[in-house]
Amino acid sequence: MDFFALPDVFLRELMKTVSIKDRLSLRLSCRNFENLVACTHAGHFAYGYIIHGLLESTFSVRIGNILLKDFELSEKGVNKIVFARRQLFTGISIGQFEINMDDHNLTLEYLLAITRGMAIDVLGLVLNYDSEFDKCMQLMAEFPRSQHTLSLGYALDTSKLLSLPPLTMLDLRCERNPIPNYVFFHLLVAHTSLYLHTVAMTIDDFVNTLQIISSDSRSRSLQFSSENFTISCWLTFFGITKSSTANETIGEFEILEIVKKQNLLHLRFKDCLINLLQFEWNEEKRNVYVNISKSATQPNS
Amino acid sequence: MVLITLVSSDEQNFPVERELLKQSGTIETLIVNMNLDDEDTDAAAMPIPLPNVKGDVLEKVIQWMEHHKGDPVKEGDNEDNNAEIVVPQWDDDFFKPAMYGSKHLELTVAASYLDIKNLLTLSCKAISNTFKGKTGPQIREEWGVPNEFTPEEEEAIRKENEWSE
Repeated sequence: MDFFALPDVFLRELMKTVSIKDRLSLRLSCRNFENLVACTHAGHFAYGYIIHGLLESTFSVRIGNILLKDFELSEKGVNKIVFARRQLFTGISIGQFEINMDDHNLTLEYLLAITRGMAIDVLGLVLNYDSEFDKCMQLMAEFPRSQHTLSLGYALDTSKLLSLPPLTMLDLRCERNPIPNYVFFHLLVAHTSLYLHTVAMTIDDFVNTLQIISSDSRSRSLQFSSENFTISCWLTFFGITKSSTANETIGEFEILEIVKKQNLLHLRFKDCLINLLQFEWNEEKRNVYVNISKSATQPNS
Repeated sequence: MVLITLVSSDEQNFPVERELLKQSGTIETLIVNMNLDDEDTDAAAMPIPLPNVKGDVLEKVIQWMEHHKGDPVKEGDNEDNNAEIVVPQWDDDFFKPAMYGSKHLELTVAASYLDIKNLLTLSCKAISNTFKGKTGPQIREEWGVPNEFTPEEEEAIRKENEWSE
């Protein structure tokens, strides 16, 4: 039976299971394989990214187990990688693809050329300079079917912060000033997961936050830090005290676990799980890390 | 236990447990179209012809379905196919004896024709595992593929491949 006389559907399925590295070797085995490699989809890979190359003014692209490396950051270099991609597959599906948006030489046009033919589930962008903000937003708009995450390495202007499209994850931990509560609630409603430094939050804001997350059917996550003293006061108000024990239910809160050695308090509020890390009753100096998470709920549950 | 008879292209009959056939999209459609699930239909009297599958291949397919009885059946396109799929040991042992011959290819084509997605995926992955870490000439030798490249052409492709590590 001639391998290459087999039905197309079979050859396409086969080629989806071949790693990029092995596709390169297949190209060298015979002309039929060389053509098959170039004319088929590469299948799904868990992750990929674009990074600065080892040499100055170069970039590299990782897809799964292979690094396409040190392409000149110019039209010539981008054309070269587009050519390389055409030799290797017609399309590719990538679970998470990350791009550091900082290099202004890596223009939107270049980025679109490099990512053409990629079906990306989650497009993760890292942004450290405001000068590249517009490029970042335009790139997200070019991938309307992908989920987006954004990690900011600088304090973004409030109006821009409020104009961000819905994100799967927004990391704002670099912003050291407390986020005003009106901005916080806007972000909480707009984005699925938030990683923040501190938030200007009252006890009512905290309860509202728990209500919003708990009533959302999606999987949610929120991290921020606050003073131990503030959290101690809130817990005391809810009826949770230093002498409370695991498995105790107090109002709408359930104490799931107390690990004193690790200063960990694990609570449940409705569908939310609350982890307090580095929590010490009435300790004034250190901050406590508050992690609130919720799993996605089925429509009928 | 309800049995349904499959007839291969060389007219061999294979009575197969109804439950097993849920793994094949093609046979499932035929069962529905022929009303073989109706209580009033005499399924034993209505064999299903499979003109594209030879008896020895169909026997292997049934053996595979018996081992995978109760496994979740994939639906839709095989969009999650990827290079990271792991072929379980039993399947690896099942595919290995006929790997480089036409029998394995015939089994894979049968999986495609019968629309048994898990078998197609694992069978394809077992083939692609034979390429793993091999050089072009090694793949050529193992699969008996003639070398049509001139040394210059081979060198040009090798150069193109230098972008990667």
